[in-house]
Amino acid sequence: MIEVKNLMKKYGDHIAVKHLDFCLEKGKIYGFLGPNGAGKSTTMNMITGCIAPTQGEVRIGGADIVEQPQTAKRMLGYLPEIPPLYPDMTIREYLDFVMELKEVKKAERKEMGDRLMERLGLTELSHRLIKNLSKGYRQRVGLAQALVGDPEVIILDEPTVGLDPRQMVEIRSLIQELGENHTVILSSHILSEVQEVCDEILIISKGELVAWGTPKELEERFHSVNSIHATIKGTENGAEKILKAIGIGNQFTIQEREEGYVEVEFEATEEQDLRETLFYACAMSKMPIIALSQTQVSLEQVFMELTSEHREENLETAKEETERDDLEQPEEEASESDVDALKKETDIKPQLAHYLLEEEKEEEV
Amino acid sequence: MKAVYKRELKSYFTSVTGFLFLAFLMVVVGIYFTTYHLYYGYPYFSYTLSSSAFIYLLAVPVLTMRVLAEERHQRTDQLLFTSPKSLTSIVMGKYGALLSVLLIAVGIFCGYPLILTQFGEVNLAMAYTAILGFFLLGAACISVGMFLSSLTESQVIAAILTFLTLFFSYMLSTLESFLSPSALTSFLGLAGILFLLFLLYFFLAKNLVIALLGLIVSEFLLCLLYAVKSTLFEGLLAKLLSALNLFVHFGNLANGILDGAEILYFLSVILFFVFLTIRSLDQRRFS
Repeated sequence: MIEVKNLMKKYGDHIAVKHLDFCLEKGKIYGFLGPNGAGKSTTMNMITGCIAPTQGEVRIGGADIVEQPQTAKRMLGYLPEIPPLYPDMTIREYLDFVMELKEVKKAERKEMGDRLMERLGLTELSHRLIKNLSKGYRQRVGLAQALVGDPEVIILDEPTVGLDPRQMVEIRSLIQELGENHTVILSSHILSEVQEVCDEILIISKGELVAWGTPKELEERFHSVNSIHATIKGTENGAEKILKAIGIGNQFTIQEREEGYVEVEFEATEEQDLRETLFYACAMSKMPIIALSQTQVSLEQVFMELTSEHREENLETAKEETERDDLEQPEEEASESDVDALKKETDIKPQLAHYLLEEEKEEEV
Repeated sequence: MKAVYKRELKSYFTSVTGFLFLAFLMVVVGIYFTTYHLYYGYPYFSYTLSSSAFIYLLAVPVLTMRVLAEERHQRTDQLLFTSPKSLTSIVMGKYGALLSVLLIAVGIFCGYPLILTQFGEVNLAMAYTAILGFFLLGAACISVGMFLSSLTESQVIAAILTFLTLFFSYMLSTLESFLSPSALTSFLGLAGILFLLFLLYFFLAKNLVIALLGLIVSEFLLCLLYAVKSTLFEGLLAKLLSALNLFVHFGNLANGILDGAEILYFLSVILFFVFLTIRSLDQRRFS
């Protein structure tokens, strides 16, 4: 439905968007995720033809936005960051104007206006001037404007900014409804929102696409490693011995918090649950675990990692992921540390047995 | 085009600007009409119009300041630019709405000569030619105002720019009389104008190399031309300046002479600025 090829935008020397390439399918909800200033709005403005790209092309349903703007724009509904409202018009007048602008047939206008206002809960306010509306209602009018003419592609730039939590939920469910038979792109810097609403997420950072996938895929791909946290009664040396025995290597931290208690933290891949192994190992060496927890790594951390300054290492793998043929085989993408961890897993049991045998021998002596 | 036109026209009368514009025109023309015709009994309506022409300096900035600047300020231009309408039709709709407001005033003025016929012999053809000239002058001023409004996001700046530009144009006839018609004056004047043009180009396109190169080459050619044939320059500056003076071109029409050249002049000014407006909006998408 939407094809973006090698899209670039320069403002003077500053490159706002560099070499974006993606192809979005019909009938899905896509989320552009990125910190402020990542180039989300610029990208959306280029897709909708508001600003012209410095390089590259955008096709909406096959029509180039620069070459055949009329055809392409007929398929578009756009809610910019700031809703494009005329303050001195009533909601009804405004929607009538937009319908005329978007070439809705005269006979259908009344009905379409009623339907849109009904859908967004604006019916009772239809004769209020837009300048007298609250931010939430203005956002709704903006959304109604984007839906005028039932366009195939609906692009929403931060649609829930400035809304109260209840309105957010309403708008989100509306977007989900729209996703059933429209292609929807929405941008946001709020993760939970994108995670909840979107079928697929495109993470944009500094004008580049750094990751693309369903929310679940992204979580799995970047956080096959989980963090385990335990408080053990015993000494630092004892804890270190156990951890080495269960094959964690050197990637752990041990801290003595109180007299006789140590806090241990290490990372493990998702497939193996090291909690159990740790429990038995500690039990065998008579060092009871007082507390044990596993931190689920969320999409939030994926986001933070991808968009932080030190994401160079991730970039290599992330770029490949944009190819999207890795969806079926996430294992192939596994980074070196994952592979190491997997290897270690297979080594755990013999090592543990060896360790336990040694313990027994010591006791015998 | 129709949608933009209708919304725009309506907005002039839901806010104060349309009324203010009409009030300016009606009050000034009304005062001159009363004194010249009703009080002193002159039969020529053109007297009123040529005396009132200055009011465009104040009235046009009021009318045109928000036409595009406000769209940009409210970000409603994004709605227009993402609609299936072309830039040309959007600008034409806007300009059409502005002209319609002017036409309301001009329509009312059309009744004034008829009032005069009650008191004696009036040359209606001359009176209506003057009204046509007055309308064309207004339309040209409005096109300048619309263009300047497309350059900025601030209504105030748009209004000030429009006023200054029209004021400069209005004052040119006074300025001209100070200039000697000698070739040297023309030469220096032209050199100065070229400098200003390339300065403007530099500010718009931000390309120092081309601006400097263009300036040097064109100034050199000018010097060469002056050295070869200085007689060519005699009175040239005055001619050039009069092309920039909208108000002087109203003179002939105001005197009741239906001059095709003057009508063509106004139409080309209008076309030029409407075209510039479209270009300036289009250019903004690339910057």
